[in-house]
Amino acid sequence: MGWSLFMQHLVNAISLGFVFGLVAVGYALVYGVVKLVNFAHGDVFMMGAYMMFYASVLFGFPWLAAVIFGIALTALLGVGIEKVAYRPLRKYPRINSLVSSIGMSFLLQNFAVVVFGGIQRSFPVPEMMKKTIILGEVRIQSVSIYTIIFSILVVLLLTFILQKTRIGLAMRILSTDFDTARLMGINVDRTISFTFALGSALAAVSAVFYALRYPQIFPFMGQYPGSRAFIAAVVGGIGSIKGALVGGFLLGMLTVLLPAAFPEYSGYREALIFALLVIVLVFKPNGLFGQEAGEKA
Amino acid sequence: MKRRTKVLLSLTLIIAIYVFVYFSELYMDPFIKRILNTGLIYAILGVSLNLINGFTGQFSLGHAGFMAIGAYASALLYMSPETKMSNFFMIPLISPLDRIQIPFFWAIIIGGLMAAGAGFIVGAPCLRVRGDYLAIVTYGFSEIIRSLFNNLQNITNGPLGLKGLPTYTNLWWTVSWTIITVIVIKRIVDSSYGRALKAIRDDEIAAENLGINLFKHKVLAFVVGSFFAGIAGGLLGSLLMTIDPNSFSILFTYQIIMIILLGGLGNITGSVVVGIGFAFLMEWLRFVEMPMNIFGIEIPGILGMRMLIFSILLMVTILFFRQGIFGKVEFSWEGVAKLFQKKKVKE
Amino acid sequence: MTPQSAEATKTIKSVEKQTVLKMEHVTKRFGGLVAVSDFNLDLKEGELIGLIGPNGAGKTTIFNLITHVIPITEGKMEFYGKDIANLTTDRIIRLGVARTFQNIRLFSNMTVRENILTAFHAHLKSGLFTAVAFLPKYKNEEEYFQQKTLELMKEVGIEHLADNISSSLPYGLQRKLEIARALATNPKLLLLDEPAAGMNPDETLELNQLILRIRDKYKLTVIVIEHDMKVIMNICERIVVLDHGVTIAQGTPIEIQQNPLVIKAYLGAGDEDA
Repeated sequence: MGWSLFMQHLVNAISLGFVFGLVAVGYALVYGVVKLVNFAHGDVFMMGAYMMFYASVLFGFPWLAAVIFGIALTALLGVGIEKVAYRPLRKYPRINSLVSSIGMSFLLQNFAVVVFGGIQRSFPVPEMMKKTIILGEVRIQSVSIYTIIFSILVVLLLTFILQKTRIGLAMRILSTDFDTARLMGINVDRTISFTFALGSALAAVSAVFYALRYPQIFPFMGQYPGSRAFIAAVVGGIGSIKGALVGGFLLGMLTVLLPAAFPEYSGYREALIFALLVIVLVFKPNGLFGQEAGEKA
Repeated sequence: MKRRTKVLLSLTLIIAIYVFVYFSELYMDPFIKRILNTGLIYAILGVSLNLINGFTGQFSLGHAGFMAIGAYASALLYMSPETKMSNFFMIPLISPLDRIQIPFFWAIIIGGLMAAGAGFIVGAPCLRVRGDYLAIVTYGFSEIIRSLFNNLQNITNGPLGLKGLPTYTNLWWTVSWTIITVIVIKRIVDSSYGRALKAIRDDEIAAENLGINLFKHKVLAFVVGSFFAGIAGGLLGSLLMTIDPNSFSILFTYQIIMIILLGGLGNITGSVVVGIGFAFLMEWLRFVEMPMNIFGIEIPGILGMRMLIFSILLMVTILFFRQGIFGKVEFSWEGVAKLFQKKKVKE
Repeated sequence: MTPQSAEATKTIKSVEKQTVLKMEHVTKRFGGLVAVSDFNLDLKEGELIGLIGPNGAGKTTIFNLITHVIPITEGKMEFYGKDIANLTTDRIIRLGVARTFQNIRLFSNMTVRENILTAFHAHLKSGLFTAVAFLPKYKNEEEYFQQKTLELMKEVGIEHLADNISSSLPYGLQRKLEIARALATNPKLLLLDEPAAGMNPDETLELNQLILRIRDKYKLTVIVIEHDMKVIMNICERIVVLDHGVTIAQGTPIEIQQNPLVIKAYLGAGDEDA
C-alpha cells in the first residue's frame, strides 16, 4: 500500500475515531456520574440524526440551524428520558436501571420505525462538505477535516465545562463520591439532568459527523456506532473521558485500518474487535484507564 | 402438603398435558400449533435465561449466542447430506459434517451440549468481571459468535444461512423439552444449590464468606442455562426451517430479557406463561399492522406498530411492575389447594 | 465484678492447647497507606479475645485479611498449622473460619430460615445431579440441614420468626441471625465484628451470655471486635488494642484498662492525665 493510500486511510481512521470517541465520551460521562450503562445512547444518537433531518427537510431550516436545533432537541430528549425512565428507578438495585435503558433503546428504535418509517432517508450534506481536497497524490474528503477540527473544538469545550464551571465541578464530584456529594449540598437531580443533556448533545454532534460520512439514516443506525462507543468506553475505562477518547480512537483505527491491511480477514473484524473487548475486560476489569472501585466488607 | 402428593399431582398434570398434545397434533389448526411451538421455545429460553439472570443475578446478554450454537450444531447434524449440498453451493461444507446425519433427538442434545461448553467458556472469566461489565462481555460474546458464523462459510454457510431444514419440531418435542427444562431448573432452584445461587445474587461477598465458591456456582448457572438455550435453538431451527447468523442477534436476546422481566426475574412460572403469551401476543398484535376500517375511515397498516406497542408495554412493566406481572407468585400445588379451599368456604 | 467477668478472667489451664490461628508480622498496605503493621497473634483453642481500638484502627481489616477478602502484603498466617495466606475466601471458610460483618450482610430477600440454610451449602456433599434428582443421599442431607437450622434458630432465640423475611427483623435480632448463620458453617474459629452495635444494655447482656454459651457448646475460639466495653471487659480473656494499624497493647482486661497508651489512643494526643 503506497503511502498516499495509507495517508487517506489514516485521515479516515482519525476522523472516524473522533466520531466513535465522541459517542463514547457521551457514554462515559453518563456512566461516570450515574454509574449507569446507557444502552439507549446509540438510539439517542439516531434520534439526533433524524431531528436534524426533519428540521432541514421538513421545516426548511438552513443546514447549520438544523444541526443546532437538532442538538438542542436531542439534549432535551436525553433529559426527558432520564426523568421518565431512570430517575424513578435510582433508589432500586442497579439491574432495574440497566434493564430500563435496554427497554428505552428498544422503544426508541421501534418508535423511529413507526413514526419515521423504516426506509432509509438521505441526510442533507452541505456543498462545502462534499469537496475532496487534493494534496499531491493524497485525496482527502473535506468531511474528514471538518470532523477532526470540530471534534477537537467540542472536546476542548467539554474540558472547559468540566474543569472550569460549577456544574462541571458538581459532575466530577458526583462521579467520585455520590453520597458525599449530596451531603455537600450539590443539587443531584439538576446535575444528573445536565449530564444527560450534555451526553445526548455529544451523541447528536457525533451523529452529524457520522451522517455526513454515511448519509443514509434509518431507525437502527444507532446500533452500530452505539456498540462501537460502548466498546470504546469500556476498553478505555468506562467513566473516564480520556479513556473513552482513546478507546474511540483505537476503534476508529481498527475499523478502517484492519480491512485495509488485511482484506482477507475483513469479515472477521467484528469478531476481532469484540474479542479485544473481552480480553481487555478479563485482564483489566476496569478498562485501560479505569479506577479500581472495589467493594469490600 | 406432602411431597408424595405433590409429585402425584404433577405427574397427573403432565399426563393431562400429553393427552392434550396428542389431540392437538391431530386436530389443532397448524397456524395455532406453530405459534404454540414458538411460545414453548420462548418459554424454554425464558426459564433458562432466568436461571442465569434472575436467580444467580448475573446479567448475561449472551443468550442468543448460545442459541445460535445449538441451532447450527444440531442442524448440521440432522440435515441430510443432500440438503447440505444444496445449501453449501458456494463453499462446500467441511468433512465429515457433509456426510453425517444423525437422528433429531441426538442432534438437539449435542447442540445443547456444545452450547453448554460455550457457557463454560463464557462463564469462566465471569468472576473477574463486575456486574455491568458482565452484560457487555456477554454481549460481546454473542456478537463474536454472530460474526464468526457469518464468516466461517465452510461450516455455517455464512450469511446465506441454512435453508430447507426438515421440520422435526412438533408439540411432542417442544412440550417435552419445556417440561424437562422447568423440572430441572426448578429442582436446582429449590435445592441447596439454588440457595447458593440466590445468595450470590443477593450478596456475593456474604455468600463467599459462607464458604460458597462463587466461580463454581456462576459457571454452573451459565452451563445449565446455555445448555437449554442450545436446545431451544435446535428446536427453533427445525421449526422455522431456516436459520442464519443475523437472526441470533442482540435484538433476539433483548426479547428474551423482556420475557423474563415481564414474567418476573426469578419466577419460573412467569417465564413460561409470558413466553407462551409473548408468541400469541405478537401474532395477535399483527392486526395493528393491517389496514383497518373504522367508521368507514381507512386506516393504513403501520409497519412496526407491533413492536412499538410491545416496547411500551415493556417500559410500563419496568417502571411500574418492577417485579414483573407475577412478582414472586409461583405456581404451586399448595397455592392451587388454597384456591379450592377459598371456594369451598364461600359456598 | 460481675459473675461473667470473674469467669472470664479465670486463667484457663492451657496444657499444650493447640494454636488455632497464628499471624506473624502481618502487614497490609494499600498503595502508600499502611492499614495494618506488623500484626502478631497466637490464638489458642477455646480462647475468647477482644480486638479494640479507635475507628479506622484496622480491626475489620484484620478480619478481612484472615478470611482473604483482601490479601496480606507481608507476613504469615496459619490456621491450625495450615498456611492460609494464599487460599481463597470460600476455601478458608470451609476450613472452619466464620465471620460476621460490621454492617450486617444478611440475604435480605430470604427468610430467616433460608439465610441459615444457605450457610450449610458449604458442607454439602451431594453433587448437582444428586440434588436435582432428589436421591436419598441428598434428601438426608437436606433433612439434616433443616433440623440443624431449627436448632440454631432456637439457640439464638429467633425460631418464632423463621419464615419472616430477614430484613423485617429488628436490628438486634438481625445480628443474632447473622451469628446463627455463621455457626451453620460449622466453624472452629468465629470472628464477630461489632456484634453489639445498636443494642441496648439488656440486649448486650444477652449477647454476652450467647457468646459464652456458644463458645463452650460448639467448642469455638472467638475473636470479637467491639467498641462496647460492656462486652469486651466482661467476656474477653485477652484484649488486643490497635491504633492506626499498630498493636499498642495486649493483655487482660484489667491491664488494658490501666494502660496509659490505650487511654491516650482513645482520648487522643494532648491528654496527659493517666
